[in-house]
Amino acid sequence: MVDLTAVDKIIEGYHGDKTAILAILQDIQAVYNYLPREAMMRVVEKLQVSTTQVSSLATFFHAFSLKPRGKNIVTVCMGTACHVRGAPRVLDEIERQMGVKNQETTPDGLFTVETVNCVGACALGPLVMVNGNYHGNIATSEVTEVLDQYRKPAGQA
Amino acid sequence: MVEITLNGKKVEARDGETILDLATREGIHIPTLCHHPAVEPTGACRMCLVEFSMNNGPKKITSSCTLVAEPGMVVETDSERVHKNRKSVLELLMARVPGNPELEKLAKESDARLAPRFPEMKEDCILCGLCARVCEEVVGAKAIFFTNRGTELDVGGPFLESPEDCIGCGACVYVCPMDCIKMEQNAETRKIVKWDRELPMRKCEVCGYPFMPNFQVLRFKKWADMPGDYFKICADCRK
Ligand code: SF4
Ligand code: SF4
Ligand code: FES
Ligand code: FES
Repeated sequence: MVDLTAVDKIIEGYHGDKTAILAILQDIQAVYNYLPREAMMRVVEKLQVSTTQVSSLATFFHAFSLKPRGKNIVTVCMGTACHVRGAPRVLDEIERQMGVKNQETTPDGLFTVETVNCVGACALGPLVMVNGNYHGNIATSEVTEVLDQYRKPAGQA
Repeated sequence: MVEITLNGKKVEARDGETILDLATREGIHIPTLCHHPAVEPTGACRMCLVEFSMNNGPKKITSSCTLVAEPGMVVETDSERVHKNRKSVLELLMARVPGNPELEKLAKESDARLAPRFPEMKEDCILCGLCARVCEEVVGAKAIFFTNRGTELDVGGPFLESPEDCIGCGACVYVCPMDCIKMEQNAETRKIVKWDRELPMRKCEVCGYPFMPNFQVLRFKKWADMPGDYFKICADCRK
């Protein structure tokens, strides 16, 4: 069972405002790293909205994940600029090293690989974000080095 | 009242009237799939395309079911460009849902190529969302809606699972323009096949006819605060 105390707190923060569903879902994902089904059903119950409304929003935006994700989120930009500068090769290399495909999480729960279409830093392409940190102009040969930074336990860097 | 020009003729539209409604009133036929007078139009299927311009501006193509008449509007429902666009829409829909009788009927009206120009998809639904609009706006159940988006877009229960809020009323079955939502019923249960929703039936205490799903009775009581024994007998026996 997922502990829903955090969800209740988040919903309270919006004073039951039905129009705040999207913000609430974002806050929930920030806490749990994904959208647990129980959390979404709590939103339905507390805000008195339909399950379809929450499910359509949660599945519309790529930023939401319905599956548990890893400790570190590796986001490869596949936008046009990054694409022509070699993003597919970078993604291939990351998938190869991790042994998982796009949208999947490594068995040790350390990394989830995702893609986006342009994060608005095209001049830095090809670009990989890890937990929101930008790694621009990345070459396939630099992938190991970048990922290793996040493999080390905190404090040992 | 709003004066507009419709196919070269000056006509009066009612305030807030859509071009589709006006044309229908004027006896002009515009093909539709996702339109239903009981719900808000969303312009999803694009069958009802017309051409219009404002103050001699550029001519634009848009869906007539969502286009509200404005003073000085000039509308063509029968131009070559209109027919060409509707035909393309129809060809795309026919590639998505091959062999659908309703689409084939429209194709006969419009001489759309029956030999497919696009790869066939073998779907049964055109994702017009009429079922969901009726379920929300008319029934009030909000049991089904869209999930995902883009090429992954689909319609059905939340997370594409069996919809727990579905009362099995069959309104979606009735309005679907593709006739792809099937309902199966026997003495014990009613099933909305497309949504995978199966509900036990309530039998009339007088004649024994299975007249309504139990769950529907519970929801009606909740929504309308009906007396508890109101739904023990069917409408026929109540007369
Ligand atoms: S099931 Fe029918 S009504 Fe619903 S979206 Fe598909 S085609 Fe439209
Ligand atoms: S049968 Fe179910 S899904 Fe269809 S309109 Fe009725 S409540 Fe909605
Ligand atoms: S395409 Fe990658 S940042 Fe714009
Ligand atoms: S009837 Fe107008 S878009 Fe479907």
